[in-house]
Amino acid sequence: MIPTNTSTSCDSIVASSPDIRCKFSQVRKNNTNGPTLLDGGDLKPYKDNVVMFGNISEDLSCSYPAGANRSYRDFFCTFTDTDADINFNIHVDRINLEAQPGFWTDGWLPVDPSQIRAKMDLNRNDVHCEPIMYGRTGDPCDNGDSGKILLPGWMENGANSILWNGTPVDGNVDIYASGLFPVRIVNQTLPPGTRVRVTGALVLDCGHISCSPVDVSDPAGVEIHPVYSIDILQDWSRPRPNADLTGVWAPSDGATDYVRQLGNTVWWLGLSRDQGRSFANIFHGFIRYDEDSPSKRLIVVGDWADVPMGENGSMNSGQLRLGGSFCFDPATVVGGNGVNIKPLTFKVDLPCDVSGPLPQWNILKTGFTNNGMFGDYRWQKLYDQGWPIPQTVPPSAPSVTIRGDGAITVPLDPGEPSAESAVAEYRIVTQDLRPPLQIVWTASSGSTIENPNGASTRITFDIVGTRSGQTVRKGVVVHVTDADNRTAQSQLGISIRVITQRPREH
Amino acid sequence: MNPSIQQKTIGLFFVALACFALSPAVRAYNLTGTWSADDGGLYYVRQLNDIVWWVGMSTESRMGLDDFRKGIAYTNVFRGRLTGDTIVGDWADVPHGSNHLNGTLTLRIVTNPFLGAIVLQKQAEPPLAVSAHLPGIS
Repeated sequence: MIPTNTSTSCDSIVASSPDIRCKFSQVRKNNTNGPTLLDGGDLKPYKDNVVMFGNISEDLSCSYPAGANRSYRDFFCTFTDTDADINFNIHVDRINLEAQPGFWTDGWLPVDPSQIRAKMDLNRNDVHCEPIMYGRTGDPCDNGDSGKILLPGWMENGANSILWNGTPVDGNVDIYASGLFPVRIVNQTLPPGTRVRVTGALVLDCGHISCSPVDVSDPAGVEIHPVYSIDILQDWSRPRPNADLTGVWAPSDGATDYVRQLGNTVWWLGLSRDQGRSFANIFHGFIRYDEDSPSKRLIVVGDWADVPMGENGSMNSGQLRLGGSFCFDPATVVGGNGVNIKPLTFKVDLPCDVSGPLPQWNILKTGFTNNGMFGDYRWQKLYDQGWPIPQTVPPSAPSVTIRGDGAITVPLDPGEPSAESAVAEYRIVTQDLRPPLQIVWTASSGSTIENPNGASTRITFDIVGTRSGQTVRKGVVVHVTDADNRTAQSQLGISIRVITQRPREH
Repeated sequence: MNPSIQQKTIGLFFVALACFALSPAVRAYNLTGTWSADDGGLYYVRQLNDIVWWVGMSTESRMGLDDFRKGIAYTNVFRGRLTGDTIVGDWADVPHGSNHLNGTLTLRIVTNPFLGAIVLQKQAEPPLAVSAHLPGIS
């Protein structure tokens, strides 16, 4: 369903509306005079309800003061020097993204999706994510009006909260002034490497980049902002007592299926990525042996129907037969006497061998469908029902990553023959390195490093004689040694382009 | 929420937002549409011949208009068979909401004499057939 933007007024918009541009034009930021998200072109929405799988590349952080009050009035009227967004980065699973039907063609606002694609390519698929604190319309400083809630926030409750593995965050966020884990959501962090699924609005954040026109040579700016939900994929190598098919599954079209197994009966509710507006289907079936297969594998057989959640939603129905690919094959389980056991239920409760390929994990696949809608579908289980959910985190590996501009543009005034220097800020993100850290920055010859042993530094690059239209390459390297004498090193190539500014028109 | 939804009545029943014809034949009913329950939940119903499906979702605001997403407290799915003016079927909560209940349900289609709308009225359950009540139906 393509978001509509045809209304002449957005005043009557409500939280359940699909019009993301209207919402951005109404939700207010908490800095000077409370501009809207669209004012000043800071956030440019490209597509709503995107679904991205990936691995965390930067853990949670937030600039809202630790210990400060968190009411909407506090946010909007008192702590106006922070946007109060939670920040984290994911390294997007591009293969999954490209496999989502119509990701690059369907549901985009009147923008050029290739700008997003180019930036993701340049940024090696690293995407910044920002759950917002509040998504409201009011100005409580002047008249006490908190306005309407239009977008989910981490301090909102219930239906308007950000979801953390399907559960509303409801303000359950701990912010620490210092330490290894400055932010926890529901008492959890997101260590680098954690496998997640993030949903929300895909935007270009023009507060960091040039958006008029969009500079596609700059990798920065692609964000999921605001984030609607964060799902942490379960660590299937851990035991799962009492597990069955019940849980949350991700079909190959970016939707979410909520599965419930009761004995040999299987139900699901499948919701399209736009909260079920495009389609919402119910499945009801049974687990039984596949009498047509020599191995008598267990399958799920049933029928399904769309229900009318969206105004123009799909209204299909059909029959479906599913096969499973789990951590072990129930048709080959050997009992204590060496005889095969074929229990009349999917036995999914044993740990998986996660060193193997992903398909051997919890996967359902279409075996037969009389409706093309489910042709060649695959369902990947995200997590079992229950709490807490063990996180998928890779083995410990000390590493350091440099964050900062990899592409710098140096403007020349008309008539100025060449540039002399370029300046940028860089900082490190570490994983599995125990403080105190010994940090050593180096850069291309002629560069000046302001803080060569700091966690962040400003670096001035020597580009004397570089003329308009020319690009020079520089590099930055950081070497880190931790308290256990473990080391990590990272380097970043930097492209510096010199351009002549257009004369200002009067 | 679908802006074309027109709520017609409330009470101890589901409220029909679908077309209705006074005929005893099964297919005279067209139950497909959005229904509201007496607890404010919304039920998206689909009738395919004599099979009735629904997803029911809790709301936190009137008709869920001010809810970014519905179904946080409970989300249940139902499949039943329509015979005459009675629907008998099974339902189960799914892990979209926080409830984890399930059961069997018998509903009777009746006409509200005051509002002219059709309602689905819950009937007494067979003993021990229901492990818990279905939220939204008194």
